[in-house]
Amino acid sequence: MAKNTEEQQTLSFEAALKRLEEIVERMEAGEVDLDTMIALFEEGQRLVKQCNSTLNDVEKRIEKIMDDGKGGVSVEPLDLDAE
Amino acid sequence: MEIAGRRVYSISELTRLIKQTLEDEVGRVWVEGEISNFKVYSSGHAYFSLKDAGAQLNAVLFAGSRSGVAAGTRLEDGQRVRAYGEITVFEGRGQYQLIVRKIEPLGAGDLMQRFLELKRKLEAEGLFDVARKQPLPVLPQRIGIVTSPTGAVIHDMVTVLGRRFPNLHIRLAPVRVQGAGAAQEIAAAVRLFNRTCGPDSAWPADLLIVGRGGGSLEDLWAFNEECVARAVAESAIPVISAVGHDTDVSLCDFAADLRAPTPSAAAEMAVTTKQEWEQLLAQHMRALRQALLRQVTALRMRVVTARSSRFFQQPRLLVERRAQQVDTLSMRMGHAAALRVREGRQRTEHAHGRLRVVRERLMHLTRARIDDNARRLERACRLRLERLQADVAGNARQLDLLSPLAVLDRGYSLTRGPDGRLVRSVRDLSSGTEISTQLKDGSVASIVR
Repeated sequence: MAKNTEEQQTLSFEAALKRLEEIVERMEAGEVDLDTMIALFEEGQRLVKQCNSTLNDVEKRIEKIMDDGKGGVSVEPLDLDAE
Repeated sequence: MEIAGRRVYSISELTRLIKQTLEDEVGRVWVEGEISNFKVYSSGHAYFSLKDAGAQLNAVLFAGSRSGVAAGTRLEDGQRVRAYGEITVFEGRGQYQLIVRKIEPLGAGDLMQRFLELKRKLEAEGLFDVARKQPLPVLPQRIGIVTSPTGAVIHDMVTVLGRRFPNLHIRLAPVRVQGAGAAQEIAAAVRLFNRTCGPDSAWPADLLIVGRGGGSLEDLWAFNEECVARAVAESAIPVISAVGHDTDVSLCDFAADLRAPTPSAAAEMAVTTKQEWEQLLAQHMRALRQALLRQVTALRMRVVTARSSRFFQQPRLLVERRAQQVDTLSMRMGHAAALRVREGRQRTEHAHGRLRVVRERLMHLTRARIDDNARRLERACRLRLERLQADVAGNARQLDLLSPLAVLDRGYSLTRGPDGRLVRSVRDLSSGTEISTQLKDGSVASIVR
C-alpha cells in the first residue's frame, strides 16, 4: 500500500491522468468485486487530487533570460509595459 | 581671397566647396557594386569599399543604420550589393564617401531563390522529417519564448497564455527578429534554452515558442536562415514556430515540431485551458462516485430481494414443504407394504403370523428412516438459513459503512486485515492479527487480542 502511494506521487500529470482514465473505465464496466471497487475508488480519488494540485504547482511569473557569458543564464523579471 | 587677380582658396574652403557641390549635385543615390575591405570597428561602425571593374567608392555603415541592412544581405568581401545613401566628404581626410542608409543583396528574386535552395538542402538532410517531430507536452507549465521584447507579439502571447492558464511560468529570451545578426541571436536563444533549461535543470522548460509578427519576406528572413532552422530542429525541448501571418512559411516552421499560423495562435495551441482540465478532473471524480454508488445500490437490491423472499419471511415453509413430501412418501410406502402383506396372506395362510412380524418390523424401520430423513432435512435447512441470515447481516453492515459515502464522518470505521482487505467477520480474525482501522481523519493500527 505504502509503496503504491509513493509510486503515484512520482507519476507525471500525463501518466496520472492516463491511470485515472483506466480506473474510471474499469469501474464503469462494473465487473469488479466490492473490495476492488473500493480500492480503485480510493486510488482514483488520490489521482484526481494529485492532478488538481499539479495544476496549481507553478506560480505565475514572467521573466527575461540572457546568456551570462559563463555558460549559464541571468534571469530577471520582465515588465512588458516598460520594455 | 584674391591675390594678383587669382582666386585662392584655403584647403578648408575648397573642401567645403567640393563637399557642398557634391552634396547638392549628387546627394542621395543608389549604387551597385561589390563589397571589399569590409571592417567593423569596435564602435560598431562598418567601413568598406564598393567597387566595380573600373572604380571604387569608400562607404561607411554607421551602427545606428544597421536596421537598414536588408534581410539576407551578407556583409562580407565579394558580395554584390545595392546601396542607398548620401555622398559626402570626410573633410579631415579629403575623401568623399557614401554614408550607407540602406543596403540589400543584388538581384531581384534572390531571396526566394535562396529560400528554395536552402529548403531543398535541409529537406534532403532530413531536417524536416516527420519522424523527427516531438510530441507537445500535455500540460506545459514552464514556457520559453524567443522573440522581440518590444512590440505587440510578446504582449499578445503573454495575454493569451495568461487567459488560458493564469499560473504559467514564462521566460522570454529577447532577440532582434530582423536585420543583420537577428538569425544568429534567434539560434543562440534556442540553444541557450536547451543548454540551461533542459529536463535535468532547475527550470526545465516544457515548450519553446519561437516567432515574430508579420512582415515582408525580407523582414521575416532571419527565420529562413540555416542557423535558425538547425537550432530549432536540434532542440530537445519541443518547439512551436510562429512566424508572420498564416500565409507566411519559413524554414523555422518546417524545422519546428509544430507550426502555428500566428504568434497568438501558438499561445492558443500551446496550452489547454486550466478550466478544461478542472472540468475533466471533476467529471472523472463524478464518474468514480457514480460507479461506486451503482455497485453499492446493486448489492443493497440483492439483500433486499433476499430478505423479502418467502423462505426468509417464513422459514418453516421450507421445512413444511419437505415434511409434506416425507408424509406422502411414507404413505406410499405404507400402501405398498400393506399390499404385499395382503398378497402374502392370500398365498400362504400359515405364513400369516410371520408376515405380521415382518410387516411390523418393516413399518418400524420405515418410520425410523422417515423420521431420520426429516430431522436431517430440517437441520440442513436451519444451517442454510443461519448462513444466509449471517450474510444478510454482514452485507447490511457493509452497506451501512459505505453509504452514503461520507460514512466515516458519522463515526463509522473501515477495518482492514494485514492483506489490506476489508474485515467482514470476526471469523476472518484470530488472536495476534494486525488490523488497521480507518477513521474519518486517519487510520490506527491494532492487534487482535
